[in-house]
Amino acid sequence: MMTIICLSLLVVLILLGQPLFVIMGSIAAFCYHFISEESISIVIGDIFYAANKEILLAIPLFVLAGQIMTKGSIATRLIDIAKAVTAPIPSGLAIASVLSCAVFAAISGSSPVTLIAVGSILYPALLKAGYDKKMAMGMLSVGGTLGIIVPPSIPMIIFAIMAGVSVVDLFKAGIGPSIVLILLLCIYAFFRAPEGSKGQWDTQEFLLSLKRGILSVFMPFVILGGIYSGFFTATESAAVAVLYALIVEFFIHRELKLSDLSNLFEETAGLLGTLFLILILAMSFNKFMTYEEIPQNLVTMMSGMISSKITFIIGVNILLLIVGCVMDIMSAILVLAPILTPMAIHYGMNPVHFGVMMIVNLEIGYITPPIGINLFVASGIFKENLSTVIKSIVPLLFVLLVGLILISFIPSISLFAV
Amino acid sequence: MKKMIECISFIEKKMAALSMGLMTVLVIFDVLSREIFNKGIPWAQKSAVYLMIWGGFIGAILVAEKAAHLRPEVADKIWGEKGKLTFVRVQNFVMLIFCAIFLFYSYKYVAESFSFGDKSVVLQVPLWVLQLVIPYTFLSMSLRNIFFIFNPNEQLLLKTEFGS
Repeated sequence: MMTIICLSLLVVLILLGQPLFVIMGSIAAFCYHFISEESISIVIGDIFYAANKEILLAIPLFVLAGQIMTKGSIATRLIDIAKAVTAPIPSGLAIASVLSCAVFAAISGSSPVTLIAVGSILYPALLKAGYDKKMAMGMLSVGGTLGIIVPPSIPMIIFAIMAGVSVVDLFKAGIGPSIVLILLLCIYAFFRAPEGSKGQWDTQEFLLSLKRGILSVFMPFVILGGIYSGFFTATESAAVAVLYALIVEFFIHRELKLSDLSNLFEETAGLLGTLFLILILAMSFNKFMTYEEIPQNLVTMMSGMISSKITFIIGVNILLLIVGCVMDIMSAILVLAPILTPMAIHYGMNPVHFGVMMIVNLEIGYITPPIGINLFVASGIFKENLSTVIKSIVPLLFVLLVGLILISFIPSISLFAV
Repeated sequence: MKKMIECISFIEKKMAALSMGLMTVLVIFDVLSREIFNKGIPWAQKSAVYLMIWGGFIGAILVAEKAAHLRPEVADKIWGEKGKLTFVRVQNFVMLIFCAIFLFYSYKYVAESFSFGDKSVVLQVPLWVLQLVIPYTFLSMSLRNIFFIFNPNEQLLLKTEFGS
């Protein structure tokens, strides 16, 4: 009976358009009060306890580093390097857009921001170079989604917290899948090369672009190198990222003034605020679920229906692709990671591999209707209607699905570095 | 009421920025001190965590002011153009009830912490001081909800980031 009332409360709150933190908090309070017969004060205790964790520091610090680095002209610098490197390859400019998106996304940590920053510069350039409108739109919209799989990534930190796995391991595990997806997108671009898309290698241009942009490109490598070598923890690497970004933007690129800092801190607090309440309330609900052994019961129930690891992987991929279409990535991770991870472990999957697979699924959600945020951003910046943008995405969606299958069924792509 | 909220909002923005700034400085100095002198600052990480908690909670208020908290939008169309104002009122009324309940229980929680004299182990600061931001957040968000209930147009005018 209580379960039915709880589900009804959930539906009513969704119908009333309540923020996710209200939904999460109401459900947690309801469950503690009516099912566990505890005081609602326990939720408050839980949220303070959940927030009181050093690992959470990595979230605002990575957000801040991204905010600092994306204030200046980093997109142009990255694009110039990528263009110079890929010039002699057929479809070089399209490949340059994928590479620029991947590096920019790793720095900014945001898919829509990547699409806006790189897309607004490269879309006219791609059209001018003779690329089909749909291909140009598709490559940039899909390239923008790479941000959440290329480490460091905020969704990875959230997954690690909710599923109880190491952030550093997840970051390391993100490297292989990022390379696979980037390669697949580059191969697609290569075979769709328009006539005359091959340029000439220009050493002078390459060196000039490298001189202007090397420090921007270097940032993800400093962070990943530090993490990979075991030199930094996730929080330390986030602090180093902020320090690096401040030095580059203040003293080298000189594109940031002291007066900009207050705004940057304020914006970071706002971005953290969007996540913070949902995250800590979800952690409180997660504690309730663990206390009531809900994930374990679900595992027992599921093992009667799903017999093998392969069936589980297929089933969970379909579920996550559907979820990605209707839910934003953070909500999906907060709600599903604590439930699905024990199941994945039960079926013999490494939780880190499962985390990466989940994030790749939800990455696809960025470009699938009805709430694929990159579709709306693309429609806005390319000034095309939504249906044209969706049509441009379709072939690339299949490319990403191929990547997803490879990442799902070949664990070593993710786990080789862990 | 609008003037009062604007004034509170100004102070909150500065507090949030200050929390984030101090948090960043502390973590950076801690890491540098550990890497250069092989000795971290013992209280730095914990202080940074509490500053992040303050920044995160106040950040949530700032997001509520812009009505930009993540939320499912599936039912928005059901209300139609004519029902928009009613929708905003009902939406904020439900949020107000939620915030009022959480304000009450968080006040109780902090009051208990005060009466027990709980202290942070690392910082030796009374915990209730650090926890005070929780009831404050729900109180401040309630003010925004009351404002939007009486001025639903103000919420509709905002450039929202719902669902992003």
